[in-house]
Amino acid sequence: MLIKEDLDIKEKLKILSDSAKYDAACTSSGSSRDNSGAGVGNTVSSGICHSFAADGRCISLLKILFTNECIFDCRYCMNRRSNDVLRTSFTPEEVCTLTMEFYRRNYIEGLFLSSGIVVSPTHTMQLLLETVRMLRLVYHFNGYIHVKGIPGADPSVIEETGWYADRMSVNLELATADALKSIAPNKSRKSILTPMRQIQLGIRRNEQLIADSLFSGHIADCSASHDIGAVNSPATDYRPLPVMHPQMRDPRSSPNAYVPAGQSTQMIIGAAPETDYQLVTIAEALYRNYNLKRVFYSAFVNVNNDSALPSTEDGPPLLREHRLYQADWLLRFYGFTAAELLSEAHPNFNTFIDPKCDWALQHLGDFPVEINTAPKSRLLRIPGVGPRSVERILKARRHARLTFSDIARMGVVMKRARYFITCDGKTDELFRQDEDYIVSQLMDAEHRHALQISQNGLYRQLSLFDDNNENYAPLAAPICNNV
Amino acid sequence: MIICCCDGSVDGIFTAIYRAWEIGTSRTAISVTDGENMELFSEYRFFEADSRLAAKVASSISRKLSQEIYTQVYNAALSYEDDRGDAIYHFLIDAFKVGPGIASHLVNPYVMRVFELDRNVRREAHNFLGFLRFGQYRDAQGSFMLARFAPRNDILDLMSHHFADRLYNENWLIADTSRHLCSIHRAGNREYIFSDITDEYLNTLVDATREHTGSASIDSNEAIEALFETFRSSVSIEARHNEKLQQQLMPLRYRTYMNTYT
Repeated sequence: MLIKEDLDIKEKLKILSDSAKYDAACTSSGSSRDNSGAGVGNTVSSGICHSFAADGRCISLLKILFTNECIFDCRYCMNRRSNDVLRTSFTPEEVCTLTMEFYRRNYIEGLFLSSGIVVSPTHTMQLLLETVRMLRLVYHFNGYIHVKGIPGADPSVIEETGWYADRMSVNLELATADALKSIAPNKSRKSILTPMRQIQLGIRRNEQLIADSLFSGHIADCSASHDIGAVNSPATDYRPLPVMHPQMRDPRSSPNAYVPAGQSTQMIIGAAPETDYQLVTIAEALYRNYNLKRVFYSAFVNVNNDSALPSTEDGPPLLREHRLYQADWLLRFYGFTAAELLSEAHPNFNTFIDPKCDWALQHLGDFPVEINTAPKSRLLRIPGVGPRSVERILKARRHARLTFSDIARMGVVMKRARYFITCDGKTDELFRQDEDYIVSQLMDAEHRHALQISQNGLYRQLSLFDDNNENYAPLAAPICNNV
Repeated sequence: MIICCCDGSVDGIFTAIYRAWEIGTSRTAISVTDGENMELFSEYRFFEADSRLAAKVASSISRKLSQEIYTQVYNAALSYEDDRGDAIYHFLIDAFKVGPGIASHLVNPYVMRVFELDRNVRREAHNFLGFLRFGQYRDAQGSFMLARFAPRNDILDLMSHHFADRLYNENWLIADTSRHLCSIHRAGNREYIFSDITDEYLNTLVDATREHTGSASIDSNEAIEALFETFRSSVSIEARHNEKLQQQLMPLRYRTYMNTYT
C-alpha cells in the first residue's frame, strides 16, 4: 500500500473528497439552531445548498474521508484493500481548519465526515470522534456536522460522537444479506443494523429527556461540570471514553440534542440483482422501524471494473435511481405503502412513467377525483398534485369553487393532473378515461421532459391545427410495465 | 383615477397606501415607477416616503390582520416587480374587509399575486443564502469579511439578518451592487446598519487587499478559493456529468461574484 506522508493539504483534499463522492447524502436539513455567541455558525431547518457540482448534485457540506486507507475489501469501493491507490489521511487540525475557512466564506453549511477503516472500526470511529469534538469544543464550530457511524465500532464511541453531530448515518450498502456477504465480505447485516438501532434509541432517549425537563421546568446548569481536560487529550489516546450526559456538555459549542437532524442511510442501486420491490420494502421498513430521516439511493458505478459486478459502461442506472427517489417521496409524504406501488408479481418500476402515474393508471376506477370536495388523502394521490398544492387547494376551496386555471396557478401540474380530475363536475378538454390514451399522453410529456424541451406554460389550449403533441390515437400494443 | 406614486421602498409603498386610503380606495391606485407609461385620464401625485405613516400602516396590518400577513406583505414589497405596490394595496383593501383569513383566498387575484411576490422574494433570498461568497478584505480601519451580490429583489435586509446570527463573531459587510447599498456588521453585535456604497470603493478595496496579502499567500482569498475549487471538481462524479442540471439549479445570475466559476 502506497502511503504518502508529505502531501500538501490541496492534494489531500483532492484525494479524500474524490473518495467520498459516492456518498449521496449532502443534505444539511433537519436541524435548527441559533448561534451560541461563542463561535461561528448556526443551522437552518430547511438546509442550504452552497454550490452545485458538474454532475448537478448539490454541495452543501464539505464531504470528505478522514483517511482512504482501508482494511476492508468491498468490491464496489475504489479504496478497497486490494486496490493499489495513493493513500493519505487528514489530521484533525486540517479538517477543522478547512471547515472553518470554508464556512466563514459561506462555501459550505458544515462538515460531512466519513472514513476508510484504518486499524479497526473502533479506532476509526475514535478518529472521527476526536475530529468533530475538536471542531465543536476547540474551534467552537456551531454549524452542521454529519458523521458516519462505522459498522462494528465500539458502542460507547458511537454514543459520544452523537453528542457532537447533527446527523449520523450508517450505510446499508446492499439490500440483501447475501449480496452484502459476496460484495462487502467484511460487513454484515448485524454490524450495520446494530449501530443504527443504537443511534435510534439514543435519539429517542434524548427526546424523552428534553420533554421531561421541559415538563418539570428544570433547566440544567450546563456550564459548571464540563470537563475541558478531555478536549485536549492527546491524539494517541484511544481508550473508549465515558458516555457523556447531556448536562455535561458545553452548551455554547454543542448542539442541544442528540443527533438532532436524525439518521440516514444509503443503498447502492444496481450492483446486486435485487428488485425495486425489495428496495422499497426495505426503505419502508427502515422508515417505520428505525425512524430514519432519509434513505438515499446511489446508482452503482463500477469504478474498479470488477468483473463480478455489472458493467456500467453505458452509464450508471440513473433512471432507476430516479424512480426509487420518486417512490421514496410517495412513501414519506403521500401516504403510499410499498405494497401499493409494487408486488412480487410486478417487482420493478415502469421506465416510461413515474410510480404515481403508474399507480393511478392501475386504479383508474378511483378517478376522476373532484378537486372541490375530495378529502386530503385522495387529493394527494392525484398525479401532478403534491402536498403543497393540496394545502393550497384545501384552504382556497373553503371560499370559492376552484376552476382548472385556479389550481394550475396554485402549482398543480396540469399536464399530468388533467386526466385524473374534475373541477366542479367538469373535465378538461383532453380528459378521456382510457388507459392507453393516458399512457401515450403521459409518456409524451415525460419524453419532452427528458429531452429538456420546455413547454410554454403548464396548461395548453387545444388548437385545431396543432397535432404534434396531442396524439389521440390509442397505442396499438399496451405498454409493458416490466422492463 | 388618482395614482399615488412613491419611490418603491417599503416605507414609500406604505406611505403611498396611507395617502391613497385617505383619498378614497375606490378612486386610487399605487405606482412604484417614476411616472413611466402614464395613463391619459389619471392624475399623478408623488409622495415622499414618510417613516411615521409607514409605521402606522405596518402596525395596522400586524394588529388587525396577523404577523404572518405582515411578513408576507413586507416580503412582497421587497419584490422587483412593478405591480407590487398596487397588488399590495388591493390585497390590503380586501384583507381589511375579510380579516386574518384572507391568506387562504387564493382565488382572489390580488391575494394570489401577493403570495407569488412573497414566494419569489423568499426563494431568491434562500438561494443567495447559499450562493453568497465572502472574502477576507482590509481597509484603513482593519480586516473584515466582504460579500458582493446583485439580486433582483431588495433582499439585503433578509440576508443580513441571517448572517448577523451565523457570522456573529465576524466583522462583515454585504454589498448589494445593483442598488449600491450595503449592510455593515460589527463582531459581537446582533444588529447591523445600512449605508450607501460605491463600486469604486469596492473595487479599490479588492485590489488593495490583493496587493497587500499577495495571491500566492497560503491564506489569501485566491488560495482558499482554489482549495474550494479543488474540492468542488473532485467531488463531482464523472459518470453522472450533467451541466444542464447544474445550471438549472444554480443559474448564471447567481454567479456574478462567485470567482470559482469564472
